[in-house]
Order: sequence, then structure tokens, then C-alpha cells
Amino acid sequence: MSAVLTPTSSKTASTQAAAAKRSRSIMWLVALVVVVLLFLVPFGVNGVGLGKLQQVMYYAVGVMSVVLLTGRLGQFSLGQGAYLGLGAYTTILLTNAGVPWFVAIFAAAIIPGILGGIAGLPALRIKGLNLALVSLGIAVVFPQFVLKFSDFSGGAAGLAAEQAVPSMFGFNRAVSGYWILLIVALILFLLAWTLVTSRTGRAMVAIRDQEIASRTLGIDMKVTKVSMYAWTAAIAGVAGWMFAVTNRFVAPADFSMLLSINLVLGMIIGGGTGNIFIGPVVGALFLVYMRDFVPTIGFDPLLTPFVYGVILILVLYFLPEGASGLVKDIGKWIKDKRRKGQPAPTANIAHGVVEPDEKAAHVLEPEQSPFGEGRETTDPVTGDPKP
Amino acid sequence: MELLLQRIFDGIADGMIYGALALALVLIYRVTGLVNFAQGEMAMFTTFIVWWIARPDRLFGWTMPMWLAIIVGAGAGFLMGALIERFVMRPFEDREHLPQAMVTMGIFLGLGAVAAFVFSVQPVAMESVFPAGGFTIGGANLTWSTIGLIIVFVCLSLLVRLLFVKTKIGLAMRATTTNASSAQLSGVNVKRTLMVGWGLAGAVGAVAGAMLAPKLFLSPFMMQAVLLYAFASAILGGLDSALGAVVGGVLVGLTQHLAGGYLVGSELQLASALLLILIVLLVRPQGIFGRLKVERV
Repeated sequence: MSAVLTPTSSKTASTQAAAAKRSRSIMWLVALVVVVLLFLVPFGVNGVGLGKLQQVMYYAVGVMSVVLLTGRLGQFSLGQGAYLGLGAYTTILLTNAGVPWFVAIFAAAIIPGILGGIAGLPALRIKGLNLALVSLGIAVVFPQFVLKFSDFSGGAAGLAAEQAVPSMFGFNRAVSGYWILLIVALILFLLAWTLVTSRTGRAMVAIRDQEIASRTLGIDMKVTKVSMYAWTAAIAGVAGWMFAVTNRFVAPADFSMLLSINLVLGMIIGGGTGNIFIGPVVGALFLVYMRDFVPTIGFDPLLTPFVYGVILILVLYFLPEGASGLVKDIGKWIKDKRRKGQPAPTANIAHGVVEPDEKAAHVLEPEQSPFGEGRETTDPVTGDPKP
Repeated sequence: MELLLQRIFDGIADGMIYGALALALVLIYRVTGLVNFAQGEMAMFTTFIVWWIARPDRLFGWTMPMWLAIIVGAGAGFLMGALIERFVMRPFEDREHLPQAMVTMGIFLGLGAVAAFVFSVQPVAMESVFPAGGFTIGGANLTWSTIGLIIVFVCLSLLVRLLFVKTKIGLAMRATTTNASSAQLSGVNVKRTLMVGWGLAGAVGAVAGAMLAPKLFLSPFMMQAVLLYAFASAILGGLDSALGAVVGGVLVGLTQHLAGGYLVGSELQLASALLLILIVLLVRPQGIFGRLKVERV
């Protein structure tokens, strides 16, 4: 990645590559430790705490679907709560009909996914806030459909799950539920991570930033948009499955427009454009624990949405990239600090080595680069634009 | 037949209110190009103010008549809209529409909670400004309130139209929409124009809310469904057309009552609004009266 201009700098380049490799393996080690710790949590937390953490997990997955659709693809969606609700209802209805939980999860992904793909079709013609209005409409209308078909949806009174959640290694409901949700959430986040680092992930960012330019570069805008609407709806549907596992009860009031707004709120707090893990998790932690925190600082619980609204506006103003942007800034600050501590590489400058510009190197990082495999758009020899 | 006529009357009456809220949306859209998600909550909040000051014996043993309370409420709405623009939206004026729309969602959350905290969580009844009763045409009941709504909102939309076409501030508003920086260079006070736009939206919303509350019950959640109808009206009429908003409102009201009565049932009336939004956006994105924006890329 470093700009190697002279043969003498090959040594620095190799040490830098080694450093990058080391930091990558450290990252994997940290991730592994975090995952192991997450699996060990039930041995130190009581049932109520585990219930909260289960909420964090389904909120995190729900927020992640908004992050992908709004943060990455730039399609402002206020309707993800409806897909979450659809997934939850699908799950409860199927398990009550005798389908095992782990089969229902596929239906809870596929049915919202198909609907989300259909709802994504207008995105090919409509843009921006008009599209947000359509998604808002979906969020507002979903509970009405539940009420309309109350014969089998249970209507306003809601619907309880009859089938017990399978136990893991004989542990109680809270612990096995936690583990099941953790496994599902980890799989989903890994999938999301592979998505955003893939060609499609870069195409999404390109469509968000420069739609026409990305089309001229051969990105199939239609396929990307519609398939992302479908995928994110499917992810929200699985979040609904997680909701059903956690609460074992669904009611239309759970999936009102407010849920969709909360998911967007989580995305803003966590940061939509940044790290795919940090943003949703921070957003979900905010959504779950802030509700308990607000009364303790002297606000009436009725004012909780007010506090949310104020925080939302303040975050938009001071931290446009949310918490994950903050984490990135802190990381950068530490790096700068460490670099200042090291002796300056004067010898290299004497040999005419150009230090890789922090910003330029950043732009070229694969996850950030909008333009897929054809990263070099100019011929390195002649400088002509590549066909 | 009577039922059909009754549904048409009801549809027009509701449509007038949706049209008024759509008009408020249009006022903000015209000056900022922004869809205000908080419009319904702003109207709800000012309606609570109207309800509060018009309560019997509220002001030193004197009961304010409803019409006066609505005028005061419209003034409060103007003030609220202008203050929101000045202190909440202004810091974001250089941002894109997406974050700005998210800010209006923050206002949405905030106003709803404050109304629930200050006024009431429970739905409250509010008396109508129009006299009760009415007369019968062909077996259907045409109430004074329906006639009043039509008169008030037709006048209101004509006033807004006059404001846009005949006054200097209206000209400034149109100039700001077309090109804010050119308007600024020609001596238009863009910042003040934006404030006036938000203020007018707040005032129109207040009148709409005060007319709507007697039909439903007044509660912090009153507007959540109504806002979708208002969006549908604004999109149908064209987001930048004041006249279109009212026509769109009537069409949406008729769709709601006729589709709800004959096709889908009362639960899915909202779905008919959503369907309408979708069809309009797909077939004629600029709406009936709106002008298509041509962009150079």
C-alpha cells in the first residue's frame, strides 16, 4: 500500500507490510477473545441482564440492516421495523403451527426478503426523501395489516408462542436464548462484513456517493439496489425471529412506526458509514440501556423520546459519523501520537521516499475504495485512463 | 346511494384537513426542498395549546371563544415554526437533505414527548369551532363543520397562493427555492425567508390540527396516521404546489373513505394512502400540479 518509489525503500516497505500483518493478526486475536468472552457472559450475568443483552442483539441486527441500506447504499429507509415485525409474526405463526424454531428462521428471512425486494422496486425510479416517504408508509401500514387479519394474527391483543425455545446443553431459557441469539447475530455480522468488504459492498458506496459515475463504470445499479433492499429486509426479518425468541410474544404495538424510527436513531448514534460492527452494536446498546438510564438522571420516563430527539440532533451536529466515526478518530489520534513518539525517518526522506499520505492511503483501502477490482483507473506506465 | 353521498361528504371534509397539513408541508418544501417529518407533531402540539387556552375558566374566569383560541394557536404555531428553524434547523443549513430530514425526526420525537409530558397522555375531547348539526341532502348529512372546513381551507390556500404570487416575501420565498445563493446576491434575506416559511407552516398546521382534533380525540399520537395522508396529499398534488396540496387532500380523503368503505375495509384505509403515494411517484413523480425538476448532471 505504501508508495514505493526507490529501490532503497523496499526494506521499509517490507517492515511496513510485516507491521500490517502483525496488526491484522492482533485484530483477529482481539476478535476471538471478544467472541469467547461474549459466550462466557451467562456465567456472570443474571436472567434480567441476559434478557437485556438479547434485546441488544436483535436491535443490533435490526440497526445493521438500516446501516447497510441507509449508511452504505444511501437509501433512507424508515420502514425496517415493518420487516422486523413481519419476521417476528412469521416466526410465531409457524412455530405455533408446529414448525421448529430453526426452520422458521429461514421463512422469517425469506418472506420479508421477497417483500423488501418488491418494495425496493420503486427505488429504481424514485430517489431521496420521496422514497423515505414510501418506506415510512410501509412502517405505518404494517400494524394495520395485523389488525385487518386478526383472525390468525391475534389482532391488537397479540400472539404468544406456544413452542418452547430449544434448550442448549440443558441450560435454562435465558442462557440458551442468549447463546442462540449470539450465534445467529455473529453469523449475520460476519455475512454483513463479507458483504461490505466485497465488490458489492464497494459498489454500494459508489452508488451512494456518485450514482451516475458508478453506472458509467459498469456497476449494475438496478440489481445492486433491489438485491440490497431484499437482503436488508431479510436481515431485519431475522432480527424479528430473534425478537420472537427473546419475547415469545408479538403485538402490533411492538412494530409501530416508532420502532423504525428507533432503528434509524440507532444507526445515527452508532454511525452509518463507519465500521459495520461498532455502529450497530453501539446503536443497539444506546436503544436498550438509554431507556433505563433516562429516569435515573431525573427525567420523567415520558420524556424519554425527548431525550432521544435531543441526542439525535446533537449527534448529527457534532458527530455526523456517529460513534464509529468517534472510534475511528480516536484510533487515528493514537496512531498520530505514536508516530510522533518515533524518530522521524530522515534517511528515507534523503533518498526521496515519499511518505504515504495518511489520507491518500486511507482512500485506497479496499473497504473504502468505491470502485471494486479495477482500483487503478489509470495505466501506471503511460498515465492514460484505462478502458 | 345515501351512503355513497355520505362517504363523499366525509371524504371531502377529511380531505380538507389533509390538504391543509399538506399545505404546511409544501410551505417548507418550497423554501428548503425538505420534507418535514415533524409537521404532524408541530400541528399536534399547537392544537394542545389551543385546547389548553380554550378550556372553560382558564384565563381568570374568562373562557376564550374557540375561534380566538385558534387564531392565538396559529400565532403560537408561527412562533414555534420560526424558532425551530432558527435554533434547530439553521445549524444544519449547509448539510444535505438526508441529515436535515433526520433532524426533523428528532423534532418529531421531542415534540411528541413534551406534549405527552406537559399536556396529556390520555386522549382528550376538544370542542369544534363550528356549530353542531347541519342539513340533509339526498339522505346524506352535510354538517356545518364540513361546510366550515371547506370555507376555511379554501380561503387559507387562496391566501397562501396570494402570498406567493402577490407579496414581496412570497417572491423572496420563490426566489429562495429556485436558487438560494442567487436570491441572496439579489438582496433577498434568505435566512429570514426560511424562518417565515417554517413559521407559516407552523401556523397552517395549527389551524389544521385545531379543526382535526374535534373529529378524532386530541392525543400526542393523533397525527401519526394523519401525517401519512398528508404526505400522500402533498405528493399527489405536487410537493411544490399550494393549490395542488388542497386538491390532493380532497382526492386522498375521497380515496380513503371510498376505498375504506367499498374495497379494503376500515383497517386498511391507510394502505390505500400508501398505494396512492406509490402510484403517483411511479407514474407522475412531480404530482398533478407540481413542476418537474430538470437537473443538469
